[in-house]
Amino acid sequence: MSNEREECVALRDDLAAYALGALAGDEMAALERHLDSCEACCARLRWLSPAVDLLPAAVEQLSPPPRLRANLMEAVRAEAAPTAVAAPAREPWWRAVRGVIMRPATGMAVLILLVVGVGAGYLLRGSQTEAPATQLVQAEPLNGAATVSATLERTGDSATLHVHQLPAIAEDEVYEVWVQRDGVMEPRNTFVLDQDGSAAAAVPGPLDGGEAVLVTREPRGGSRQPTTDPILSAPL
Amino acid sequence: MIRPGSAPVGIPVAEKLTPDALQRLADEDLMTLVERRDADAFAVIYDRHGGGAYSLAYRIVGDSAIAEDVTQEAFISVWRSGARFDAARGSVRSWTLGIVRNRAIDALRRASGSAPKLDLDDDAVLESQTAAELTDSEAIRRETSRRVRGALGELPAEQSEVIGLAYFGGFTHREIAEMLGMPLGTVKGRMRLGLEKIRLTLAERMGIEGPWEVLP
Repeated sequence: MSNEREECVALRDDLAAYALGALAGDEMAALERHLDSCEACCARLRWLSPAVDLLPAAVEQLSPPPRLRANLMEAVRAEAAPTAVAAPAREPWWRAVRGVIMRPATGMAVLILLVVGVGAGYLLRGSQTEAPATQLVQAEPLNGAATVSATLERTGDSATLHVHQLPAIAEDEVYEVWVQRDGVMEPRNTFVLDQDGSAAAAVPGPLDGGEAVLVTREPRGGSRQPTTDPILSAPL
Repeated sequence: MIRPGSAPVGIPVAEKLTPDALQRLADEDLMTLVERRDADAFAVIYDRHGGGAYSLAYRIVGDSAIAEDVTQEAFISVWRSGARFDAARGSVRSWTLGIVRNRAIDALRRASGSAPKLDLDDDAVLESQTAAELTDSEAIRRETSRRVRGALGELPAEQSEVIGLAYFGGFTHREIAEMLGMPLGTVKGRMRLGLEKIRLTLAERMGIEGPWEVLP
């Protein structure tokens, strides 16, 4: 034990350098191997750590630019809720189906499936659970945004908002989707425009009990409360 | 305090906390929510430590744009690796600022490839905000910083020099020894003496949390 103690005393300088991040890779690895089996040195390192923790507080304290928070939160919110980012424009279902049917090799198979499917559907009528119906609602431009057109495609308790000819926004801005419920605006999503001024934005539920889906311009990262007047509204 | 991986006491997992409730949580409890991908909890962590992180990054890299990038990268890392936070090994602030320091040192080495400046005039870039314009937390942060700097000024210059070169400059003790033309043992000895002095006198005066037992 006396040898171990002497070794620990000899390592005190190394521990200080380690706490400051000033040991090179091989020296750091050797010390960490020692720390794995030496509680005394671990205790000394813990004892030193508040001194190192104090160092960042010694620098002049600056205010980070607000865009740093906005950019960071935009990235974080996109990862926190994948549905909270602009959804890519989807190909209409009938166009996709038409593409498949038009292939010669699949055309006959589809025809057979259709016949079988219609027959089966007839036999099973009344026992099937219906898929949620899709409703299309035309949005109304507000506050002078006369060129804007938008359609809300609602399926069940969520929706996709298809917008066209929205005014371009600055790089540090986004459009934000809201659900108005009992007069309260609930933030749902942010999106930016494609080059042609269009976008398809997911509108996560719940939508039941809501009065309308609205869109405003907001700083990047979105807002918790609208900071501008809505430019369109789609009734729910 | 709640250890990472467990649900905060009294907070059902599925319940979304209000902004006020989040503000009342300790950092360690917020990290539990961050681990569950709670962006609002992460925003509170940023609001508490983003200023200190940006200031540290700027102190190391000496460039506001790079400091901004470093701070953003570091907090993204905190967001994505929140599960790796271990409260037993230190505070959220220490962990976060450690990530910021490492990223800043990396950026410094990439950008300069040479010895970094260590005599930056931070006052020259301090934003022209009056005390009345600062939020309470920012004002407290700056007052704490002023007191800490004053206290560190009591260290012998040769000790604060090697500590500054190591911590803010990212130099190893071998590089510092070469730079200052002194034996390795002298550099490491000054680091130890300086840290011990901070630990024994300055940190206690500043009320820094930590294990305070005096080692034999």
